[in-house]
Amino acid sequence: MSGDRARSDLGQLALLDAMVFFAAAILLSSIALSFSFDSAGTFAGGNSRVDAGEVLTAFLHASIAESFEIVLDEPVTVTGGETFALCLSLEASIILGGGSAEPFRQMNEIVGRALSDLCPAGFSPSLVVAEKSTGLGDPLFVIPGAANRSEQVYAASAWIPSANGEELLVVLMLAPTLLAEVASI
Amino acid sequence: MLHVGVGIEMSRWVSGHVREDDTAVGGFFEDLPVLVLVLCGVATIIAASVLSSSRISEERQDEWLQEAAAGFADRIVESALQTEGAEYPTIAKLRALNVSRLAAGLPESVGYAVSLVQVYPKFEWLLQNASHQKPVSEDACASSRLVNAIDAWSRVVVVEVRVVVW
Repeated sequence: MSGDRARSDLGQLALLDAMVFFAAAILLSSIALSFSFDSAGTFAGGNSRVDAGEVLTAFLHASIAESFEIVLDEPVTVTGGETFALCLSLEASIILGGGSAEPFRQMNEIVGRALSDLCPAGFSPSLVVAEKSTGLGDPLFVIPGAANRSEQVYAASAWIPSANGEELLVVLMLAPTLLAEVASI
Repeated sequence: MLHVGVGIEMSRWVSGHVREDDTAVGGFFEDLPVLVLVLCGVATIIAASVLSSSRISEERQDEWLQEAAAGFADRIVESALQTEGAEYPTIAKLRALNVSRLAAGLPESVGYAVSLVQVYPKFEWLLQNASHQKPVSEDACASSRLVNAIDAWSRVVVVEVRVVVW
């Protein structure tokens, strides 16, 4: 009887060891699988490359390509060959001089359309123009009207000279469209 | 007497080992659940290892394809921006780009499709070129670049270089 008891105890110990081994095997397998799936997900995120700097550079150097007139004290005729950087600096100069942004409404609509054409699909652009001294805390104007409030935003900035020689900070923000819609609700 | 003694000892030895054989047979059946658990554990580890290694190799392949697509797009942009003295290339030059020559840097096992599209001020296809050596695969990666160019009216337009490799 004592021999039988001893044999039974050993069997239970072996079974316990096997269960521990099985649990450890499952744990190790889970860690290995989660690591491989996590790294694959990281690459999938990197695959959707968004380069706001490239969009901003191409935008600022492009011609506005439409002719219209800006009604100021002295009307300004835009022929279409002017770059977006030049048009933005003109608007900033007028606002810095105490003028209104209202005469630039048509131009800002063209700017908004151009940015929508250039930014990657699934993103909504916002362009902020600010004076160097005040920075983004008090922007001169924002196109298309409200800066993106999404938490995840791809952004790039550039300096352009205004018509009266001051430096202007231009910031382009690209927010995922779905997140921008959620933030606006 | 010696034979008798040996016989008794043999019978004791045999009977003892018969009992031990019973024990062994019982132990074998008792250890079957242990064996099953150990085999399942080993099988789980092997399956996870195979699955992980295949995922990682697929990921490496995707990364390699992504780098190939980005490098190919960079070569096209670099070739387009080789303007003799001018700040931007002309649309005519972009239309005449020899994409097949630039694709020589890709391995022969890689298929590709290249499109040059004017995205501003109007949408217009400028150039399309694709390899026909390899059928299109689901394992493909894309890359794009934006460049400025001069159109027929001397305006600076924006052209997107789109590259897909598989």
